[in-house]
Amino acid sequence: MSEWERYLILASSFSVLLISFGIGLWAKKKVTSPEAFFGGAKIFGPLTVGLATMAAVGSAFAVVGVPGLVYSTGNTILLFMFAAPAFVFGYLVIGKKVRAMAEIGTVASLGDLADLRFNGHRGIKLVLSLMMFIGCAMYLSAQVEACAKLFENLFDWNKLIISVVIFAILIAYTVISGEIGGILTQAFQGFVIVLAGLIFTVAFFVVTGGFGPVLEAISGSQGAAAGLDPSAMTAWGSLPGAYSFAWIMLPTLGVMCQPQVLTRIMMLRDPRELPKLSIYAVSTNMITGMMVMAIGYCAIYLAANGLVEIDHPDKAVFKVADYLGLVAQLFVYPAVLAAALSTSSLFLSLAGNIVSRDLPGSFGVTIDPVRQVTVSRIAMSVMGVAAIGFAAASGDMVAILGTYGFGTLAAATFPIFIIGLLWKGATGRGVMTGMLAALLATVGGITIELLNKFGLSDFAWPGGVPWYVFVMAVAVVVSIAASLLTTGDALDHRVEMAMEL
Amino acid sequence: MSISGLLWLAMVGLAGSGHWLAGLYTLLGLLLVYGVLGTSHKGRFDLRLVAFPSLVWLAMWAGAFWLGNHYAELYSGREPEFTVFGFHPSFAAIVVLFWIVPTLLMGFGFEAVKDRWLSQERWDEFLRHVHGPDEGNDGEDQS
Repeated sequence: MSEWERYLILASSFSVLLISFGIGLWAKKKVTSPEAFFGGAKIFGPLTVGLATMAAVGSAFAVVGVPGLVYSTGNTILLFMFAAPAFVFGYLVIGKKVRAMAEIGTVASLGDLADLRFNGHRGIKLVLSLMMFIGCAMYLSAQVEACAKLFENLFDWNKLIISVVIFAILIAYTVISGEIGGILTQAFQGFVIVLAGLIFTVAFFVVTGGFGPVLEAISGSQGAAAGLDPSAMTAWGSLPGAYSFAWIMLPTLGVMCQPQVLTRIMMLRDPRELPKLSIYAVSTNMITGMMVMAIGYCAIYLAANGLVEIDHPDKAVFKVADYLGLVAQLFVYPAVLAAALSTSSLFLSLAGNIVSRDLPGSFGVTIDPVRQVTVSRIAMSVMGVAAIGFAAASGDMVAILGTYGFGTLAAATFPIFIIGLLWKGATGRGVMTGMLAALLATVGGITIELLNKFGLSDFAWPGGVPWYVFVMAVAVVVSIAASLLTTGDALDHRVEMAMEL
Repeated sequence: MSISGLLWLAMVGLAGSGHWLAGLYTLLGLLLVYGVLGTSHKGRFDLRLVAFPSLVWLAMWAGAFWLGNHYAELYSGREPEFTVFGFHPSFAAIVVLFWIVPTLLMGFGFEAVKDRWLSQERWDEFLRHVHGPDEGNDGEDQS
């Protein structure tokens, strides 16, 4: 790649960053109140919310991590990407209830929603805040890691400096416009991802000739010479079956309670537009799915035919783009940045919400709304720095970090927002017990993973099932059992109406 | 909800003991329970809303798991005798029955049952109770 090509790609990538910054500045005038800053404005239509949700759920995990895992282990991770029907199912099951709750009081954060359902239970809010903070750190680290990989591949720049520059710009526009700017920039970034997806899918067919030649390439002697396993192309890929289970179960049950989905439902202007929103979200999600499959398959095809060498799975997307040439590079690199930015801005806002509203609220401390915005801005900046540090320390693959974050967030939110909104029998004390069990299980799971990573333990999870599946199960089962054993709370009649809608 | 708790235990227990495919089938049962609970309106479940599109989707996923596993085992360690759109037959089952068809079915199916899921009247009635009589048509006005 020539020097001017590198700078052209850099310019196209930074244009996404600058346009996002511009949208953030423009959106500032729509922030008419602290509630609007935190996400309490119900003013967006289904296309904006659909694109923003897809971009925030997709993240760099999808664009960098998934193609890398497709290249190294085959189709297993595609099960995670293909679970799109569950997206719609989530809207169908809890969408109107969540949106209805947003009519009852000032609901700008998930903590506010938990307050309404569980009569301001401080313990639930505290544990929710702590677990969401851990999940945010993991998710943000995955985005930092992806951005670093992107620019490492282009310029061999220092990972830390790259992360600091990108996150400085991201933090700047997120702190200016809060969730209003967040959703608008995410919608724009979603559009960039979809555009890259369409271009990449066409490029895949042009280069490989279709899926058949990929299967032939990996099954032949060249594929074996490149260290590729033909079983990767079966339904379950080359990973143990437990991963197929986890990577179907996790998005299917987890997507409906992900903060990216719940907070966006609350910002939709009319709940009857949820079906339209789901069509936009899943159709764009399908294009992203097609793109990541095409990139992963392209990487397999090129490596099996000796056309590229891929030394790390997370570099697969960039190696493929580099092989395809300048046009592909001009779209793929910005798409990676867009995916990382969209998720990062959401999780930064979430972290800001937690620190300025939910966490003080859990201790009975109320901060003046205007001051909350200042506290939130400081918290976002601190969280950005912490994520850079976590990414540098963990060094895990983007996809693995992404699934850790996804699992932790699902364990935190499932008992409150799925069990809580579907079942009037879910009691504050019951859900609190489930949340505490989930927090302990999460800390235990992460500790065991770290011990294993540094060779201090050889603990294997039963059946090879990833740890976060057990954390989710603990959270749900303990919440239900403890609710059955404790007396129910008196519900506000409006909350009851929202749950029965 | 108690049934869902038992299904969670069964699902993770099966997967943890190595029966991950059985765990996946259990997941479908769990989704069905949440689907039924999600249709509850004033204490009554709307089974027609469960039947379409959710139950059709779950049936497709069951088919995808069965076919995917059948062909993965049949051609384990060797090249498949045929392909579907160039895919390994086991993965073709996933692409068609797990991803593309059910995604379109759920997306457009949800739009088709929109009024049954939440009619304008029901939403307006909810708003009237929450905000008072003046704001009954809020959702309609804003859209």
